[in-house]
Amino acid sequence: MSNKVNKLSGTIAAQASAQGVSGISVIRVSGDKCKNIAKKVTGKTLTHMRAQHTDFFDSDGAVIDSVVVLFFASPASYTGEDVLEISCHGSIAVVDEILKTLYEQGARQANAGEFTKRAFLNDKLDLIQAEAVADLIESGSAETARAAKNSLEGLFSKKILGLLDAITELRANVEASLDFPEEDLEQTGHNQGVKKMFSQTNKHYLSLLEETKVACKIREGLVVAITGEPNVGKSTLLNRLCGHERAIVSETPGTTRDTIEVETTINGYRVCFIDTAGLRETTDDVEQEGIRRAKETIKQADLVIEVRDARKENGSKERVEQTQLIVFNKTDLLKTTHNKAKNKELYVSALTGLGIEEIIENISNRFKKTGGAELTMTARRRHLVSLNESFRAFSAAKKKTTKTVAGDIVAEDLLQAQNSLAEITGEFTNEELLDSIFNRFCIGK
Amino acid sequence: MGKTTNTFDAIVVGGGHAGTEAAAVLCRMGHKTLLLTHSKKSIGQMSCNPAIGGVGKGHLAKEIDALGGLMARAADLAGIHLKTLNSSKGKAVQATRAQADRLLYKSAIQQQLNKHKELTIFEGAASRVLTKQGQLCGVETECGQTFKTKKMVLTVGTFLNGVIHTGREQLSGGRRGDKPSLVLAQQLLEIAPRTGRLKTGTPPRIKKSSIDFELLEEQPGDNPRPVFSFISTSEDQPQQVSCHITHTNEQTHDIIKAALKDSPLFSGVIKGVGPRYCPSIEDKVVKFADKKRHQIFIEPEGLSSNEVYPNGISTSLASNQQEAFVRSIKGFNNAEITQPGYAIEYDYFDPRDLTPVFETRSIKGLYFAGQINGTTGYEEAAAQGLVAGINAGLSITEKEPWEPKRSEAYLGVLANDLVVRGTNEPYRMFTSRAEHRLLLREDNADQRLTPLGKKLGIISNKRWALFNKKIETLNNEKERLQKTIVKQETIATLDHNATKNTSDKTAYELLKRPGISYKELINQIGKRAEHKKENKALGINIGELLETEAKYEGYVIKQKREIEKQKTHSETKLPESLDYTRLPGLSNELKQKLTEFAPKTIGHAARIQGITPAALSVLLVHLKKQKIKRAQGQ
Repeated sequence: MSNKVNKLSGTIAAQASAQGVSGISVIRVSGDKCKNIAKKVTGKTLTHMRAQHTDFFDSDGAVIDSVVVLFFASPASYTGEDVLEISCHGSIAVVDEILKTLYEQGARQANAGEFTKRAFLNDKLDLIQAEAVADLIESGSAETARAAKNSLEGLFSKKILGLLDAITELRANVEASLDFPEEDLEQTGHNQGVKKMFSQTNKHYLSLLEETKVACKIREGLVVAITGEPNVGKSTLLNRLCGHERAIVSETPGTTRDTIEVETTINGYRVCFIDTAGLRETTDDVEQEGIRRAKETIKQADLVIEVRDARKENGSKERVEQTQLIVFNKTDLLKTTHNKAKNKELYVSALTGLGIEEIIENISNRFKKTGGAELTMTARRRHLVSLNESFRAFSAAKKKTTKTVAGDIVAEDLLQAQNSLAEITGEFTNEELLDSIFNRFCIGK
Repeated sequence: MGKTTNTFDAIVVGGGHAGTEAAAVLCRMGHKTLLLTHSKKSIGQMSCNPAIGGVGKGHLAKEIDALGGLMARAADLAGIHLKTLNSSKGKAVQATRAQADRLLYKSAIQQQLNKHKELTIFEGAASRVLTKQGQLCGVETECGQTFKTKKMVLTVGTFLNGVIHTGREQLSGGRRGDKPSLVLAQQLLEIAPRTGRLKTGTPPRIKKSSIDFELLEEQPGDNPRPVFSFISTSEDQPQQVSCHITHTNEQTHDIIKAALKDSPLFSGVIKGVGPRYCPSIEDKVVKFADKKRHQIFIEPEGLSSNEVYPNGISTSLASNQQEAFVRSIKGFNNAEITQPGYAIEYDYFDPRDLTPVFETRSIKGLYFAGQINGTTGYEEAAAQGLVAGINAGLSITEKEPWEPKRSEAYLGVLANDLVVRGTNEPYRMFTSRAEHRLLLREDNADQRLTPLGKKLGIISNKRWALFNKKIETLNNEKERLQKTIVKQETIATLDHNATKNTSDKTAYELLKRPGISYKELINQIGKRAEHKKENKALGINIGELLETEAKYEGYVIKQKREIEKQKTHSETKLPESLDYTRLPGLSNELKQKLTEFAPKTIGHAARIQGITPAALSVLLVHLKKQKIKRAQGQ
């Protein structure tokens, strides 16, 4: 119960201004921790309705940005709670860092429509506005759920479930010894087992945390897969798209020798392009693996662009199902004028840059339309936050087992570790814990 | 019988652990109460193993005691072997357990009941609940007498469609020897149609003089002995005896495996769900086939009894097969079975049809408590009897009900689990069911509940005085430690993990550290004056209690803060008339679940598996919308 009801309260934070690059971005924080958090990140004490110009510090005390903070004391605020508005420079990186710091200091990511919901529950809105809020919460919860599900696909999900199993087994062992002290648990090598489980689970956490951090960095934003046969000009197109704003953040070799991932910003939105291997038949084992992974990547991409040679309009025989946009490249080499572009088709020359603007526009329109990328991004960031919290509690438990701390306190930390993990994997009930105990141990003297 | 004598403020049906607590608390509240039982002499009988307490169960017994109940006090008066379990695993899971002399226990319960002049005990079997326009108005017995009342607590145990299995033999009935009331069963099914089928079992009883105790491992009770009740001392307890331990062996397992074909459990005759934590020996041998032996805990039935209770070999095999496997066990080679083990199947009422205080939803004033609600165990039954009794009592005087909270007592965990989630196996308490386990300790049950009991008027003057003395002493000592400064050099000798440049600390701060005990601390700073006299008068060690409070303080503060945070929303009521199917924004699965469980509050809804914070938001917004609409309509 505690977790779910807590999710209805607490201090929340989110960007209030529109996503993307702008002159100034506004971040809103609402809840009783506002004053406390403001003190930590700006060193300032807040006064109702007074704007203050100040530095914003991250959790290690380094300056992130120079900002203006404006405070509204409860109940004279939009939500009816204490509200803090932070106006910072309109860079995605700055907004990200500020939000990350706020989360570290005790705020949590606001759910879709949550500020408005609070305003409504605190008598700040009328019934007509309320109907709109209900709609917002309704669609918001569905979208959030979808985004969370999408971010849980593939390898990450496998690993996180593996970790869940490890924690469950550990808890089953610890809890069994607490609830059934007179049972013959030793016969299964109980105590030695727990020690080993702690150290194995620790390794599990460390590797998963590392991978999630990397994944967050690479994957946040819209994932665009570029497919097509070899030599249709995928790489040139990719360079052209990224060169557009000359803002390549990183270039990481992919999981196989065949995929290249490039991160950039398009009109202020974060986009990760993935150049996949040519999807042709092959008998080479390594290449087959590459193709399998490329297909996996395409499945997870938010947008799939298939590149074709404008001179051979029929393109690949093996079409990728998920293709949402077909780009006919190399129009500069056409001897005649090309056909009129149909819906979901574009004609470009990556070499000369002709038509590239249209691709850029097409991509940024997708952001404006769905906001889906933001949801996926926050879902992933949330995973990282939960995983970190879980690891913190687990480490506390692990440390205590080496000291003379009682089992009930170790168990409490493990429960917290599991609760944080459940934020990612879904609810874990006492009943499931008991199941795990009774399946592992013969209880019943 | 005159008109005045057959009208009562409240009637309790059943004289088991639930019924006796319900009747006693109604009397403590000053209500004229009738206890209707099929047999006066079996009031307070322990029908299964002769023990009270254990982990989780001991917690419940202490809470019942903190509210002035009977169970813990009776366990002291009858306790012939007492132990503190988990003494090294932390105070939150530390628990008291007593082996009880059956006869002494029963008579301790009956004596406590007989003190109440408000109580009438009547021998008879209830056959019909009497109602008038959906309101309870009385009960009729099988002999045709009627008793009038507006509040009734029904604690009729496993009588509903009970079937007893021993091998291929079947017998319909409740506990061995009890008569089932079929008419009442039929009527109750109309009142509360949702039922489920459960199974439980007992081991064969063995003649004490036929056991070779020389071959068994002896397990004496603790010395010094723990006490159960906050108002008892160890001097109240009778003569102490030992328990013994033996094990099954591979030969035992072979005999059991060979007999499985005749087992009602494995031939599919038994359909009820048995408890996972208390499997029969047949189950254990099959499910944990690689285990070479299973432990048997031999519990004495009483000081004057020539029977023992071999805990761990509950079985429903045929009598001759039981004898064969029992005699293959070390120390049991010449064992004589005085009463074969059996399995019993019975129906229970789905507790989700009850309000959070165990009142039936269809008949106001009628409460269900105990095994009838799908639980197992004396402590779980007694706890429900107490909660139902208190609330029946409150409603007589038209006061607000008392719903114990999960964060305040195991009583709350139990009630909330049952009415919100229901159960599909006999429900037993485990400490792992409590999310606020560090708050719900045995040693602070009185601090959590006795002040509340005082408000309800169910606490004796003696208990109240003792409680206040304890709190006063505790606070004085805490204050002393908070004022005592310990020098840096002394800290280094107390705590090997201490950093070299530590500053001076108060004694209380030091007590919070894992490595420092109260005893060691006192060796450095000296004892409080009067400590011996005070500890003796209170029957507890104040220092130990203070140490626990200090060591758990951080966790307790954190959990209390969380509980506080939830309060605003979790107690928001959900109207019974709420039509979940018409709420947009809920998945069909959630709509169905909410309709089926019909949660009473947002907090209850949150306990339903699969309900998300987003779904709770939808509910909150809907409630608010309704409120605004109503306000505008006026």
